[in-house]
Amino acid sequence: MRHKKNIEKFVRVRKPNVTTSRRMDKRTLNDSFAAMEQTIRAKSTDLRPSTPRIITLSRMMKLTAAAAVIIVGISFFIAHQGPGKKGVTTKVLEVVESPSEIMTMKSLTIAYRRGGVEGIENQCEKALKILGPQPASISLGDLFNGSKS
Amino acid sequence: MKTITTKKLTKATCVTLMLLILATPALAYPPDPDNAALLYYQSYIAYEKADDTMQEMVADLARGKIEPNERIKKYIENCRGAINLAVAAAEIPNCNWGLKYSDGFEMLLSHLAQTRKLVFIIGAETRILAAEGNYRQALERCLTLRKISQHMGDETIISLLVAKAIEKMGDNQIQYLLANTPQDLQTLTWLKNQLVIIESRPLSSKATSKYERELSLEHMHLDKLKELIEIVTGKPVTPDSKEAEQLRNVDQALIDKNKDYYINHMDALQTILSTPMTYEKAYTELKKLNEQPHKDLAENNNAFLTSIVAPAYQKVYNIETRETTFSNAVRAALEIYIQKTKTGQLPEELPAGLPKDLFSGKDFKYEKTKDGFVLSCRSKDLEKDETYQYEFKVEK
Repeated sequence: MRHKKNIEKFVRVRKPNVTTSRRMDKRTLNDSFAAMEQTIRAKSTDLRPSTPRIITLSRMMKLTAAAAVIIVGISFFIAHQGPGKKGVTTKVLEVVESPSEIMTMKSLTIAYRRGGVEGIENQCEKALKILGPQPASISLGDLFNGSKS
Repeated sequence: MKTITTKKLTKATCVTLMLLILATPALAYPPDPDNAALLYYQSYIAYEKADDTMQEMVADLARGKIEPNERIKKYIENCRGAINLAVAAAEIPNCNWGLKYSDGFEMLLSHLAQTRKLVFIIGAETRILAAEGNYRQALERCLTLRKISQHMGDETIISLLVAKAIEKMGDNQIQYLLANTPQDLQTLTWLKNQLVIIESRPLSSKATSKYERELSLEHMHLDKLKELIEIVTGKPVTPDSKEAEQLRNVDQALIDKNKDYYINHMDALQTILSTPMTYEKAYTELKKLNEQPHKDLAENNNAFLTSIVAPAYQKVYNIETRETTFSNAVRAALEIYIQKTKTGQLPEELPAGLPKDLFSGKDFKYEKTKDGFVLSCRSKDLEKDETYQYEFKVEK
């Protein structure tokens, strides 16, 4: 309000010493356009994120990514390491019983330490009884007949 | 002149074309495997399943305990495909079993059991061939056994011991055949040369120590120690056991000191095995080395792992010496058979330059007997406290 009164007083008391002309009109118009453009620029700047906001967003993204990596890592570890270790513990206890383990370096080393060369031979005998393969003789004809049934 | 040249050219072209036509089908086949193991593995799935009685009969025939009978002959005939594959495999110099060494103590060695079975089948077939008068083919089977033995390899103590057992079976068969085969100079010379070729690539206990060392060192860590103790003691470590109590007091620093002790021990072992010395000295040194960690243990905790992990190498060395000495006796005997074939009678003295008795490092003691001759060792087997004699019969 005060600003408006000042302008009115200025016009009433001290007449502005301005001569109107086409040149003056153009100058006024250009100034108006410049002011308007400045206003629009100022508004669009207000909508952009501020520097602190950018930093906050960046930190959040990093934390989310790190959490994702940790979760994937733990899942991978559980999937691949967890059950494997359990298996190893069981294997040691079942070293003589398990058919798939009977001919491991471990089983044979134990057999050798317990019974020397004869120990290894006995282990081999035992393995053959459990493992096979030793198929009964099979001809091509048998194979074809087998596939028909 | 021009006509003659043209005719020659036409003939050459025709011959070349014919050769190309004949060679084309052969070239069309993919090449045979250059890895013997691939054929052995096929062989393992090609022999006929045998019941317990048949398995026993086959083993007994291979060992010469029984004579061939119709049932065994029929069974062996049904294994023909497997035998042929094994014979072809034995002729291939390269043999890579594709073992997964990175599995350490979990590594599967199932081929050893299968090979042992196959070796009995081939041994039984050798006896059948001999009984039917096919001596040359029977001797070829003996060489197949010796070549299979070489293919077992000496990367681990276990494979070396199985190799030596197969080698012994091959030598037993040769010893039997030499006594029963009509003496033929050409065949004997061929056999002698073949054995020289096979013996030129000897398996050695020295090679096994490298893998054993790496395998044990890999397990000398806090998290693997329990497994290592279970393997060498052959029983699980239960939470209330003495071993479990000891394990709870172990830290990585102590394990590292144990590791250093073990490395020094294995270095000393390698030195003994690499240094040329007599059997007696090598055996005594190895035995002394094996006993040292047990003595040190009273005052030095660092000797603990070595005392339980280090194999008794004097025993492995002893088996190696014993079987190689037998092979040497067979080769020395072969030379005597050759002399006998050449002159019609056994030599009065052992010919010079023959393979030696490794227990004494000297020539075998040679004695003529009523049935043939005997080659005896001049020093005894210190592990078994026995002096060996090898009897060779001569056909009258």
